[in-house]
Amino acid sequence: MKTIKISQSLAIPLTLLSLAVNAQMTIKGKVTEQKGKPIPFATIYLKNTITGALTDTLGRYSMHLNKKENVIIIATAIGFDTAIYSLTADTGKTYIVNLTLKTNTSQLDEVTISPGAMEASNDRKVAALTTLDIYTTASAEGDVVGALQTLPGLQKVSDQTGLFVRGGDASESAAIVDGLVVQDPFFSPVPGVAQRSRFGPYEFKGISFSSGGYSARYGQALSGILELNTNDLPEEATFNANINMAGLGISGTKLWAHSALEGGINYTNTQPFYGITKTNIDFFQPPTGFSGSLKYIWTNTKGDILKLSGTFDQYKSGIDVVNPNQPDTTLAFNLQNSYMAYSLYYRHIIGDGAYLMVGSSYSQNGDTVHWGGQNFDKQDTRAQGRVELGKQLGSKLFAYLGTEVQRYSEKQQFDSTSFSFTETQVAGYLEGEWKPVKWFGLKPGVRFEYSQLLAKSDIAPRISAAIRINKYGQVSAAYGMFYQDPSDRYLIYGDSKVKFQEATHYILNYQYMYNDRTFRIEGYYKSYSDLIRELTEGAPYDPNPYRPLYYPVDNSGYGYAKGIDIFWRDKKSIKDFDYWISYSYIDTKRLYQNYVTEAMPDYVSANNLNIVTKYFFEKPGINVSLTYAYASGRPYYNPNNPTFLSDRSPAYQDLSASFSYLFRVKKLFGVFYLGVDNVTNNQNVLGYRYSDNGLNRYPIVPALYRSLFAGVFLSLTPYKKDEL
Amino acid sequence: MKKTLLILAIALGFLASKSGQAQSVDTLLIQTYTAFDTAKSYPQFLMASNQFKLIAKQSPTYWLANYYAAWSIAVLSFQEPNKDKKDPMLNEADNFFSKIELMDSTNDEIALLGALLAQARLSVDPGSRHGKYGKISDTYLAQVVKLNPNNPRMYYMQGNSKFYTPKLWGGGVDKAQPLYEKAEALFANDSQDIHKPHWGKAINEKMLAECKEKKDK
Repeated sequence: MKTIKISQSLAIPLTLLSLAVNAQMTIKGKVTEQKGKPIPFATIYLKNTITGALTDTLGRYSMHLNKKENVIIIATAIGFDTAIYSLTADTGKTYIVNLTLKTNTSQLDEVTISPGAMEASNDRKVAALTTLDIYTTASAEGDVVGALQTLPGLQKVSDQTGLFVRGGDASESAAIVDGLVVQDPFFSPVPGVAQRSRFGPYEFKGISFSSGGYSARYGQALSGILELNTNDLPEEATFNANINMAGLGISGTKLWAHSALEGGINYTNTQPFYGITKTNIDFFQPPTGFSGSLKYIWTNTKGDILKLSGTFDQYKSGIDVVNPNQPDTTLAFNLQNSYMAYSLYYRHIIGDGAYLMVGSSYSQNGDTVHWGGQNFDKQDTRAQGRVELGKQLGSKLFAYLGTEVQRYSEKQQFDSTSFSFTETQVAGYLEGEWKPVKWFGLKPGVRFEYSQLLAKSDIAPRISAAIRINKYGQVSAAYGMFYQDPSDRYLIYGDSKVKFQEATHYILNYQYMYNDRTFRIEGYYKSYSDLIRELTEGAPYDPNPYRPLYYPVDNSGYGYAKGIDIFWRDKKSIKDFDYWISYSYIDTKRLYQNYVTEAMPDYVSANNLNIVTKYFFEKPGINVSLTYAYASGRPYYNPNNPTFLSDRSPAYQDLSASFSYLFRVKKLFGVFYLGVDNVTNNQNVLGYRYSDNGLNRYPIVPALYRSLFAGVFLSLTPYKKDEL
Repeated sequence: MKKTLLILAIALGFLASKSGQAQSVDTLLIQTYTAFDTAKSYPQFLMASNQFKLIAKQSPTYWLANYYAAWSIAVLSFQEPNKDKKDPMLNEADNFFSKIELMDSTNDEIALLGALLAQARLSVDPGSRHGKYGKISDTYLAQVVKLNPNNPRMYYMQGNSKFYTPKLWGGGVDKAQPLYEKAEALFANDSQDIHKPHWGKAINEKMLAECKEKKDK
């Protein structure tokens, strides 16, 4: 603990007249904070003795000495720096020693440099959510992305698949697991129906969602990244089973001293779910399929860790979707998907605060689509490798240096016509985290990227900083440049004489965190340039996202997004009650793709509000959650309106509820859960599509209004042998 | 009343300092232990705990002095109403504990103190700390079983860990009670020697009574 000498202290020897005393000396006084507020229960003692005292509720203390001596008075209190004062005490006198203690800053946590990011983690203090929150949040439906959509910055788009971050479309975000990019983070897109992510919360120990200004470690995402870290060695062997309205599955863990094997298989059949739900789209073949996974984890006492995992997934579905060419008719959309992925992650502790991380993965995804009598096949693969070396340099600086190689390809086949591309990207990065003092930190980084397909390279600088402005509050800021290839659609059909698309982020954030209450406000400005544009030469706008690409493309697109994100969470005020409120305001416009002028894209709502509440009834073990979501109307294209994309759909409102009951029968632990989405059966309209002649319009609606989902999760945890 | 006690405690410290050299550290420990054991309010506990800390600072190589300093802080941390103060308190306790942890690997009470400190950490934020500190506590308790299977405090702490774990997660009153009962039987053999830590009898009785009361409901 830092020791400081107090200068404002006062020592006035007084002669005691009114009290009859022996030869004893008295030292008394008051201990206060810098602002003069008394500190109760501060400890006062004389150095190298066992004479001590406590201050009372008014900060007063007094101590008695018997013989003349030189004393060193020490005052301590939790949360304050220690103060010392020396004096020579004379017989029979009283000394008044007032001490002022300075707030201790060394015991406060270091600043965290994470503007733009929200975390869900079980072991980080700064996390906004824990992984358990993902299960217990109504409307999340047990999906990582579903829960993150209740945080500011991530827009829920019910009729499109992907992460929509601060005005960016689905292609502008990347999902990363253990440092490796996931090629297909969502189940294969179905026109007009948002798909779930492939991520179940139980696989991860930490989830960090960045809506901008992210680290130089990653690239190729103009808007944001979702970073997930898988679990390390499990704590105990378990056997789990679940059965719900969409299938059943089993999983288990075998545990050895320093390693573990985890595996699971799952059978999906959504017939029971769609059977009782009134859908707005006909699911003539509800999704059914099989999936399985296997993961091996090894660790040693030094902290080296190896994770090897493999997963496969196969499913088919059949839906009548709105014909994108003729919105008044529907087309049968049959999808068969097969997906497999393997990954390796190894982190070696070199010692001396240094580590080496090596990762590699390979994934393959195939969609066989039969759509309105046409065959359409899509195959994509991604192979990648990453090596990173990190080192603590002195006590204030931590730096890491890394390189990654990504090779991905896509092939599409329409009956006998086929298109394909293969892209190889090489990147290198260097980033440092410098904290000269606990209340200030700076994180500069630089990233180099090269694309073989575009034959272009770029250098992307990033910097963020954080400063603590008071005990529990900090301000942070970030700036960064981000580059990205044109989206797959343009890589596959377009000519490759294009450049990277570019975005620049500016972020300013204030965060207050104390005693289970978190407040966060973040303002941002993001400018886009070199976006891909189709040179449509005055042809009318075609809102069909599956339109063929007839026109040449170039990098003349541009745009901006600016807004404010606010988050408040309070777990403290009411016992067992937890709630959070998030609000986002965004102003964004862009000219890209086949837009005719700069406009707000059709997936953006300017105002988004989420209120999530949870209450835990401890005695019976029941968790109840209610989530209310509001989003102001989204733009839609009206060919009769001369102002492009200026019409707005009605506001979106949704109230979801979930109920879970935890129970235990001997060694069996179970959770019964029941979720109702859109309890009020609100008939949300997401936008409109017009007939080609512009005379009729058809509402775009979510696949479901009110829906009900129920299931049981059972877990068997064997007791340890030594347990009594 | 509070003030009188405070003055009394100060006087105690004063008396102790007066003839510091002449009195053995053990006598001081006994006095302070009595003060801690009979403390009725937070300031009284704090005062006695501070006294233990001062004694430990004076005798940094004496295991017992460090033991009582760390132990008293751990006990106090359970009472501390401000959650934010608990970790800094326990950091201080860890400083005392780290001085003696490796001093004597045959001393079951040192291992038990390790478990107590881990449980104190756990109780700061049970939701997120259960995994890490539960494991640490288990490791220390396993050590105690090996060294002295008749340590009553071990059963008391195992009882606590069951008592404060919801029935749902494998704990509960029914599981805790036999452990407290076993502890109670063993407490009867406890020595009253300051060199052999013997805390826990009263609190164990209280917990046992609470178990019985809850069961009756």
